[in-house]
Amino acid sequence: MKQSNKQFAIALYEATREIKDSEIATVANNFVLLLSKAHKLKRADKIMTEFIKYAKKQEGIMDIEITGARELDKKTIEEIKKVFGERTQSVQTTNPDLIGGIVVKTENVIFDASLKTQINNLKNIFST
Amino acid sequence: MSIAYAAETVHETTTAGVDTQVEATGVLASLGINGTLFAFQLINFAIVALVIWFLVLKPLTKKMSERQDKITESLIKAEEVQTNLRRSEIKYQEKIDEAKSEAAKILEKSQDEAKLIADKFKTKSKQEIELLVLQAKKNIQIEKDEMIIEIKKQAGELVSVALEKILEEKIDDKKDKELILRSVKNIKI
Repeated sequence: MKQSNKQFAIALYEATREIKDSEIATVANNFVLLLSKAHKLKRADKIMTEFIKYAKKQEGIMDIEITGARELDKKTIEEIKKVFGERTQSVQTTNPDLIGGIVVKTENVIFDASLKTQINNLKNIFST
Repeated sequence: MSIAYAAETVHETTTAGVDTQVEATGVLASLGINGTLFAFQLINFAIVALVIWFLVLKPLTKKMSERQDKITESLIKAEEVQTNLRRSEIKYQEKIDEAKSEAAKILEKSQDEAKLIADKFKTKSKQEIELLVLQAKKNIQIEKDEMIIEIKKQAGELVSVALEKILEEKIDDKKDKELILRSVKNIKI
């Protein structure tokens, strides 16, 4: 039976969830051996990505990407993060084409409050 | 006819002459006529007359009679031809009249048919014109709608370009921050 990357990631998370820090190295070693036996070492990077994603979800940690027309100050970023939860981790990028406002991307949703999009919406209203 | 009559008279005279020869001799002698010679002359004359009659006059008369018959027959035939000609003329006239009547009927029928065809074409043309007008109206409406859409699109583009320019100049860090904070308040997860 073939196991997907996500299944390996979930297995690793379950194995490491309630162990002490000293035992993590042993568990990681065993996991690598398991991948080797299953001939899945080539997929190790993808499995780790799935693991991080799954672990963050389980721990209630949300990743967001904030894009603004200008560099945002810390206070503003904190205000934004508060909306998505206390355990939110953010990455900030800038895109001058937005003119003003922000675009916040989560795993599943995009909140677009940029002026560029609003202008485009207005343009679309004219076109229809 | 006069020759035949003369010959007959001579014959009668000759016959009567023999009977009355004795009496006549005396009368003829008194007139200086030789009775015998006169009798022979009469006989000669009668013979000549008979020869002429049988050899010339009778065939001639017969020929003339035949000719007369032929002429009569020809005249009758001519009359028949004339009659036939008249009949033919009448028939010809009748045929002509009939043909004229037929032609008139055909002409009338043709005129009716032509009128019908003309009416049909007229109706068809009218329908086609109406269809064309309708199509033209539809096309005009479509073009009008397309123009409106195009104008709106152009207007939208102009407005958006103008807004972008204005906002790029007007939005500074402070205003952008206010805008962001206002937007963040409206985010609902």
